[in-house]
Amino acid sequence: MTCGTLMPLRIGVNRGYRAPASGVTCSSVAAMDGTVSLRVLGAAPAAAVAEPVLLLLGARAGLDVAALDELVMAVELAVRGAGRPLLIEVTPDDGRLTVAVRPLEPDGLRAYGQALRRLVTDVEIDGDGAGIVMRAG
Amino acid sequence: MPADPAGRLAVLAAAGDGAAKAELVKQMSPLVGRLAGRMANARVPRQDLEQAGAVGVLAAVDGFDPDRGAAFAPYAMRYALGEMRALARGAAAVHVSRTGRDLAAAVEAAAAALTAESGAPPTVDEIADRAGLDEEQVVTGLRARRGLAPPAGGQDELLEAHGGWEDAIEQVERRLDVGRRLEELDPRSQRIVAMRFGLELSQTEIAERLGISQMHVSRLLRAALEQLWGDEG
Repeated sequence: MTCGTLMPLRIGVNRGYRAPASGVTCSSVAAMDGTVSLRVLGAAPAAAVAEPVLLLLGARAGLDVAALDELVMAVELAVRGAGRPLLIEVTPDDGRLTVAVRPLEPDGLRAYGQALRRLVTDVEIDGDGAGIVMRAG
Repeated sequence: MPADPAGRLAVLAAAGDGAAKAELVKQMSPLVGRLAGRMANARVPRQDLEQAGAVGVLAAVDGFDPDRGAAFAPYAMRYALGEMRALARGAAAVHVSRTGRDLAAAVEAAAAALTAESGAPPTVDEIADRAGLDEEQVVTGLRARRGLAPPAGGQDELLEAHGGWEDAIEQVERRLDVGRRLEELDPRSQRIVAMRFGLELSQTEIAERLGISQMHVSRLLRAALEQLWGDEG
């Protein structure tokens, strides 16, 4: 089992996983309010870890497949521009999904910010500039 | 006739000189080999990448314009790199399981039918109802679909029929702050990115214009963004 196969999500479950082959460590926490937090060390696996969570929570929030698809693309770009280790928080709400990626790298925001704004409904930099928050739906 | 020897060979090759083509591939092989060496891994052997790179070099011959003053080698390497990336993406797609492929096909068929009926992309629940699958199977199908390589060809003629790309591509380069990197992509990828980010059409609108499915557009767009930003991060 890897962090990329966290289905079905169960409220209140804490998991930690160390993949011996890649040395990648990730962990997830699903909170009572439905927010799922993923903490990932490493580069490329972060998007792979987030993808099933985004698809499943997005589906349960009622997003259509095009919105889901572009949200995953947006998170893939945001993850490229984020520092390590990174934290991805996914919060479902009725008809929408909010995803925060931290920490934010200024170079990453410059490179991908404009594309992100066209892939999701809303993009904002959170209070102290430490992360990027995207909403779809 | 261009000053650089490779450029002169390219002009002769474009005119149908078979010996010039062979010599051009030979002269470019050290550069192609270095690129292949950097990209080779367990799934994509170096030799396969070198062959794809040679195809890219030959593809570059037709579009090379010596009057622009650019040397042939850097121009051809962009094509070589494009062919190698396409090969690498195809190899990655092999790892989608048979079950995943079946679910992807079922999900795509149901989504296409529902979109045709309502004019809007469906939700996962709607796809599940139509395809007789549960939520997790639809999500598995969506994930598998994202892992599949984009279909080759088919829509290129349709893209060709929609003119006015230069303005849209310039818009995208300004908006996304990618400099001239968009011009380094293959024409299909340039145009998909231009429609989505320059003309700001939704995936569904692009699909309608091209007569293909939204999911097909998604795969093309994803592959194009991977080309645009794939070496970063």
